Amino acid sequence: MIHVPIAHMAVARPPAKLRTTGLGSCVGVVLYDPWARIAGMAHIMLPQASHGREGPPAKFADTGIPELVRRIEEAGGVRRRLRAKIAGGANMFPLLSNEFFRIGEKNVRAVRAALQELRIPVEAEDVGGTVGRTIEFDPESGKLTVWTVRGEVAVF
Amino acid sequence: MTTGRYPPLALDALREIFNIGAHHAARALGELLQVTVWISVPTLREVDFAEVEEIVGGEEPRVGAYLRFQGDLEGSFFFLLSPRDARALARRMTALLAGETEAHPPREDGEGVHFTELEWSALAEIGNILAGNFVATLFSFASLEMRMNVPGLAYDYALAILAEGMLAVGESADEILLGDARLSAGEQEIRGELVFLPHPRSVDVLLAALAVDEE
Repeated sequence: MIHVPIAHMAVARPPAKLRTTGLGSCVGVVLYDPWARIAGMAHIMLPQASHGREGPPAKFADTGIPELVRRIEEAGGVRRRLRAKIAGGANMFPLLSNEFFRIGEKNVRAVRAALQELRIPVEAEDVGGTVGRTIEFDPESGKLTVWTVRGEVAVF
Repeated sequence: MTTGRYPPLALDALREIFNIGAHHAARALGELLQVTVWISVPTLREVDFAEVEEIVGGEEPRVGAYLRFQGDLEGSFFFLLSPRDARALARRMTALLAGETEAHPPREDGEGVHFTELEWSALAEIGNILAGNFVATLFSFASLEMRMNVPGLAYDYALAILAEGMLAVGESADEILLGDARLSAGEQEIRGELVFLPHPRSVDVLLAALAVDEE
């Protein structure tokens, strides 16, 4: 099991699995090449990197997703075969929802836009709502498992 | 421990503010619940985002009150409890409101994830009082303009809750100051965690208000 911390990314192939925990407004992005069975996961915090600042690329949708593609290619994956599965982007405190607190929705939009730009189809998504998620991806089966704190489990 | 943007003297000064804020918050909780509240000496350290997860746990279930303050000072304040302790605390408060002198011991029933509406309101009020007292301490120190919202309350993974505060500073920082205090209340040993995530801008403002020489 490879753990992906917040604002980080990792690439894996079977039998390793990828896991990231406690996604709230953040979005977990999985890209995988089903033929080569290579997968990458990023725990993205915010939509866009501000200009002139270096930071970990996985922190932002606009820098993290192209970087994740690059690392998968480096590991032997092929860009045109890539598929995406995404989860997260919740609104953790809906009663406080002003502009800032809708960051979850903004994150999901930014992730979708970045994927569209790279022509990577989104095969499955479990986004929005008001609950946090923990996710695990198995590059062998291509299945994404999603847990909530209340013990609910769903497979995508 | 990562970069070390702040000199040790500045960290000591900030820790003292956090210390006093946490003690005010703890005293307010003790008065509200009519119990003795103990508080550990808070720590304040500069960590990167991944370290926050290591410290608080990525998927520990927590009931968390979240207060965001903005203005000359910006940042987030959290009060985190395990579901079991949250319910014990809520029962203590609802028992007091009902005029009972002895709180019922917390009932064990499996996961401990269910809260009645009354218990949830009690927790919101507890979060309100803790957060209000903590932030009021910052106000009085810095004598600056600050707005604070009513705190939000969530039952979720610790990281999913705390990330709300990390996102608020994430655009301009990769490291944050994590203030961390543990308190315990009453004979039932309810343990909670106070977490303070100031915006880097605010750290500079606080240091200026304290007249800490950064040389």
